Parts: sequence; structure tokens; C-alpha cells
Amino acid sequence: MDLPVASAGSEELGGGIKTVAFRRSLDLGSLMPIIFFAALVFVFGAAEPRAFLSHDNFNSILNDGAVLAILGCGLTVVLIVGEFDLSIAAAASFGGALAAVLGTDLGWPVLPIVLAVVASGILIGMVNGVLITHFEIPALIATIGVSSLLDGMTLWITGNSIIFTGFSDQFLFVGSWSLWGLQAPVFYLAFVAVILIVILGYTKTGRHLYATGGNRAASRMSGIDVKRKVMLAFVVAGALGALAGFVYTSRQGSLTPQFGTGFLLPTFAASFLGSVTLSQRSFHIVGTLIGVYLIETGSVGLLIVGGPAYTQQLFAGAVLILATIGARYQRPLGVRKS
Amino acid sequence: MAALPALAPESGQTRPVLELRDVTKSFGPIKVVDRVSLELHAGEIHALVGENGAGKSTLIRVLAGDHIPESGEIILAGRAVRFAHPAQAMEAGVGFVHQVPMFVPTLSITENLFLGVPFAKGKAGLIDWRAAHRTASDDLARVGLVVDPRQRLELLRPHERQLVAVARALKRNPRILVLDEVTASLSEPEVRILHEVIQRLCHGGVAIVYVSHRLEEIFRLADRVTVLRDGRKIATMPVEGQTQRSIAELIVGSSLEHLFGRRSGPSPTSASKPVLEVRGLSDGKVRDISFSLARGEILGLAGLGGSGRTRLLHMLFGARQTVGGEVAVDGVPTKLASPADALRCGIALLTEDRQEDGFVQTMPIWQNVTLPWLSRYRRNCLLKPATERITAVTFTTRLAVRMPGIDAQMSQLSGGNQQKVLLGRWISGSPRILLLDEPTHGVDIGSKGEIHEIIRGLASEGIGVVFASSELEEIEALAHRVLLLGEGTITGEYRGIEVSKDRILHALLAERGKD
Repeated sequence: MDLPVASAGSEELGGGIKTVAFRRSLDLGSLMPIIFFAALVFVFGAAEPRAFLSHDNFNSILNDGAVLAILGCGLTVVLIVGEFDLSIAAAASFGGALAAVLGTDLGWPVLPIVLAVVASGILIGMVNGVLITHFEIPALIATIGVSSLLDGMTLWITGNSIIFTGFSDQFLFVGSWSLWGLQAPVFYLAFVAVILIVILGYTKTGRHLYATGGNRAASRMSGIDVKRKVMLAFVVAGALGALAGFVYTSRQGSLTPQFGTGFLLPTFAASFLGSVTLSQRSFHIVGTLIGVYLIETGSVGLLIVGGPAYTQQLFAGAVLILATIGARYQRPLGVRKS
Repeated sequence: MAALPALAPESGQTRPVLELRDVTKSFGPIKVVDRVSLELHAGEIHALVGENGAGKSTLIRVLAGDHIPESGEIILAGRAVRFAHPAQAMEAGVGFVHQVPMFVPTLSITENLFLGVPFAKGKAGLIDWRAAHRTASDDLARVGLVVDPRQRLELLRPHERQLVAVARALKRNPRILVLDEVTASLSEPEVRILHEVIQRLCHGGVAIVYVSHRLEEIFRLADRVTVLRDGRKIATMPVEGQTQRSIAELIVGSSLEHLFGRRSGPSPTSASKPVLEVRGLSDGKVRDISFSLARGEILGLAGLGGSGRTRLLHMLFGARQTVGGEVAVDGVPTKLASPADALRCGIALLTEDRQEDGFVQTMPIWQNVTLPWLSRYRRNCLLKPATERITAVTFTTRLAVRMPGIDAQMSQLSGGNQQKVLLGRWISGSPRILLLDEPTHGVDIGSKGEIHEIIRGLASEGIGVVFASSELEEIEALAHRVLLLGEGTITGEYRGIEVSKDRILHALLAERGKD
């Protein structure tokens, strides 16, 4: 996390001709998503106070958004290194399908399933990484290609049919245990988010990931192995994508092949929205979480006030576009001259 | 030297082709150009000098119609004009050539020449390519360039591209030609070719505004010089009778006694073991480079553009694969397969283009300083930002970086201060060998002297310095010893009092004569 800090006046060097009066602060632009978030809560809360402002609804928003948020965390890491990953949703579909097939037809216990899912996610990330760093294929093409391959394999291993019987209790427990009204995915999300926040903000690896995204040539000249950093980012995204798919399947207790497709757009919308939240136009985990829950709150709110299902997609699309425009018009790098 | 005594502009006999009267332009509360007046005569080369931020670019952009001044007049051939748009300035006869010309490198020279100019149409309204190429050849001939206009622009050498840019500006037959830092990335002999073309144009009656950081070329080229500082005009005067130092002092606004005419003095005694030994280093293009570098020695690399200076530095930094040769640091044979290897051996490289591969724009100053050395700021895998910040403050203070604070963005600093931050980055890791590629590229004159002093200081602390520069004055001022590179090999060596601008220039010109 890179929250702005008030700059110490003592660091200013006297005698400089062009010393610009300078203040670093959270400017209005980077608070806009949060203000918008608050406005959403206010509007829906005023319209449907009993349904929307209830403790249950609050918990259900947290629970329902958790899988999307795990995907968002994975995508954020890729966006930080300056690439992007359109295959993350397909990785989720594949991870879910693999878990379902292993758990039902093959009757595997949970632990090996988790390992297999993570391994498949890492493999997916490595394929993306090799295509992009070694063969220098643009991320757009490489990840669309991988996405299509994964969707094909998902249909193949599931026989293109919905799987809803034959799950062991253990399998279902992974995604459905709960504590204080919060379901398992929320805790997994918290675990993933905390680890990523620490790595990205407080370790050499994290700084190197940000540097790689900021200026690849300069990073290379600073002794950073940029190809390995890009590879790492895709591996994280692939692994988190596949795991999120498993968690989702376990929580639902059933598998619809290619369920992940619906997650793709909101995942990107949330990450881009997060990049203009509390930050100077950089991707970060806290921003992504805010983005995810803003979108989730909007969707649930629309549902509660009786909006038809398609309004949720309209909402997610509008958020994605507005967030990107917001990023463009945000004051350059959050710096204010006075 | 003043090129044109024939049309003595200061005599006032001719009416100026262009006159600026009290032109003022502000951005917010800051007056970037403050009541500047200027007269430009036909056949005159008028140099415009000043530090970064002195208002040169803004003044030029006012002329180009990019900026609209809030007060003052622009009088073109006796008539007051008002440019609201760059196209209007071009139509009125003002041409521009910029430091980095706007080209589409993958298109042909002809297509680039015709960017923004209508093609000759043949039958059925299609482009008549034969006529276009013929016209292009004629355009190129005007600037003395004999190349096939059908070839792609990217195949040209940098100075040839600049000449194409001049040719393009001349297509509209401008009466006034503004040349903005056109020689910034050219080596000395290439600069000379460009100068000849400029002089020929001015004999033909074109009035030229010449913006440059290189004072030395102003003396070779310009008739008069206007000095800007903090948006105000300080003086306009004939170049004759001035010295580089007198103009530099006007630019900076203070005495430069400690900076001018400094030489690095005698080479340190090479009795100690050399800090760097290179034997037979080669890659595809650089061949068989051998030299050694003593502790505290400043070694200059001189050569034409494309002679392999940058390549060699990158090889020494592990950023470019080598195919043969040995490198020993402090007597220990070393394999440099990546920049990380070089950094571990205590070799640092300040790259030529700070925007391209120098700093990370999205990180604040303090993170840019510590980026290559993060392993030294860890405890139990976690970074110690407080310690990092102390380092950043220490080194930016030591190098007198003028900045709002270490949390500022690099983009808020002038070129010279960005360069000092990056120099601070590299020396904060206490390297044994410092490689510098064009250490004062695009840096204003005040900072330039400061950077030279810093480099001398580092050498006196025992760091071995290898630097490449296309400015011979810089080589003369800094180097204890000079290696001359040509076509990827060492073609000469000068040491001590042999290091002189004229001698190196002579050798470089002879080099060019060969091909």
C-alpha cells in the first residue's frame, strides 16, 4: 500500500529557484469512488431501508463478493506489472471444473484436490508468462488464446454438463462453513488480501513488481529480472483464479461449465475502479476490494429495488467506463500545486 | 564565428521580418514569458539561450501558434498577426524543426516529407508516386542529402533524419525557421554537417531562430544571441565580443568562476591495481576492446554516433550479451551476464535517456533512489522505508537536488535535477566503478557544471569512472584519459595534456572521411 504521506517540510532545500510549493494529500479525485460508494448506500438505503440496510444484507454482500474479490486480487497483480490477463475467468471455470470432476467422478479427497487446482492454476500462469515474456506475444492475444483453450478443456472434462450431485460433504464444507454470519470465501479472501498487501507494499518483490509495471527498461537497468516478475504475476493470477473457481464451486455445491465468464468484466471493472481510488493511478489491493464491493453493492441494491437482471450488467459496464474516464481526468498523480 | 557580416542586422537598415513586442504568457499565476521583445532580420541566425524553464520553449510555442500570448504583439513583415493555431503560423511562413522530429519511422522518406502537405495527384485523383519521389529528391537536395527517398526513414542516421526534418520545414518556403535543439543528440561531425546546411539557408535569406544548450555551437553559428532567464529577456547582443563564460553567466545569473574552464587535472597515479580490466571484449558489433581503469580515474569514450560507445557501456553493465573477452573487477575475473551481476560487482550505469530507461515515472523520488539496492534495506524480508528515506534525503542533499521533497514525482523536477537524483541513486550503492552515458544530456548549463564537479569528486574518492559523451567540451573538461571509438573498435587513445577537443575532433573527422 502506498498511501500518501504528508511531506516533511524540513526536506525542502532552501535557495532552490524553482522550489514549488507542494502538498501531497488525498485529493477529491481519488476519493470519488468512495463518495460514490457512500451515495449508493444512501440511495438504496433510503429506497429500501429494511431490506437494504439490514445486517443480513450486509453479510450477504460480503459473502457474494468474496470470490469476485479473490479474482480481482489476482488480476491486480498482473495489472501492476503492466500486463493484463483475460484468461483469469477461464482459469476460474477450469479450476472449478477440475475440482468438481476430481471430487465427484474420481472421488478424490479435498486436500489433493486443492493441490491439483493450485498446480493447474500455476501451470496456466506459466503458460501465459512464457507466451508473453519468451515468445513476446502481446498479453491481449496470449491470454485470449489461453482463455479459449481453457474453456475448451473445461467443456471436455465436464462433458459439457452441469455437475450437481456426488460431491462429498468435505468438498462442500470447504466453501460453505461460516462464522459470525460470514461464509468461508470471505475468510479466504481476507487471507489472500493481507498476504498480497504485505508482499506488494512491504517487500522487495512487491516494489520490483511495481517498478516493472512503471518502466520495464529502467527496471531492467536497476538489476531487476523483469521477465521473472511478469511470470510471477501471471502465476499468482492463474493460481488465485483456479482457487477462486474451486471455492465458488464448493460454495454453490454445483458446477455450471464456464461459469467464470460472467466474472471477467466485473473483475476488470473493480480493478480499474480501484486504481483511481485512494491512489495515484496505480493498481492496489485495497482499491480493488473497494471496487469489488462497490459493484456488488450496486448489483444487490438494484436487485432489491426491483431492477431487472440486466441492470446489473449495465451497472458494471458503466462503472468500468466511468472509472477509466475518472483515471484520465484525475489530477496528474495526485499532486497539488498551491 | 559570425557567419554573415553582409547583412549587419544591428544597423537597423532592414526592416525586421519578425518582431515580438512585450509578449507575455502565463500558466496560472506564473509568468513563463514576461514582456519579451525580439527582432529578427532576414539572413540572420539568432540564438535563443536560457536554462530549462527560462521560457525558451514557451516563447517558441507562441511563435508556432501553440500558445496564445495574453498580451503583446507579433509583427510579421510589418503586419501584426495573431496565430490561433499552428497551421496559421506555418502558412504565414514560420517553419519549425524540433529536437525530436515527428516522423513515422516505418514510412518512406517521401511519405514523411509529405506529412501534412498535399501530394501531387495524378489521373483519377490517385497519388502520383513518381512525381512525389522526384519532388522529395529535390527537397532533400536542398539540404544536401543524397539518399533514395523511397527507403524507410528509420534506415537513416540521426543527423540525416534531422536534415529530412529541415527539408520538410522548407517545403513551405518559410521566411523564418525555428530550430529547437536540433543538434542535441548528434555527434560533433554530424553537427557540422547540419551547421553547413543552416548557414546556406541563412545566406539564402531565411531568418533563423536557433535554440541550443550548447554554447560552443552558438559561437560557431549565430550572429546575435538573446538570453532568457525566468521568463524575462536579459539581453540581446551580437555574439562577437562575447565569451562562452560571459553568456553562461548571463544565463545562470551569477558568476561561474568555479565551473568554467575547469579541467580534471593530472591522472591519478596508476601504481595501484586497476579497478577494471577489460581484455578483448566483443559482441556482434563492438570488437576486441581492451583497456584498464585505475581507481579514481575518469576515462572518456569519444566517437561518432553509432561507434559503439553506448553498446560498450551496456556490455560492461551486463545489459548486452558479449561473445568473447574478459572483464576483471579489482583483479577478480567476473562474468557479467545481467545488470544484477554488474551491480553485485559494484558496477553502476547511468543510462543515456533518463525517461526511457532511467527513472520509474510512477514512483516517488525516494523509491527511485533505492530501487537497485533494495536488498540492503531489508529486515526479515520486509523493507525498511524509513531507512530508505534517510538514504534518499542524504544523497539528494549531498548532490543539491532542487526538489519539493523526496515524496515528489520525478516529473516535477527539471532535467538536471532528475539527472542528479539518478546519479544519487547509483552512488548511494557505493559502486567501485561508475559508467556514465552522456551524463549531461539535456541538462541546463548550471546543473551541467555541478554534475561535472560531482563526477570529479567521486573520482577523487577512488571510484573509477567511464563516461561516453558526444560533446567534446565535456570530454576535454572531465577526462583524464580518452579512448576514441570508431566502428566498434578503439582507434586511438589520448592521455593527460593530449586530451584536447581539437585533437579529438580532428581524429573523428578523419574517421568520417574513411567511409
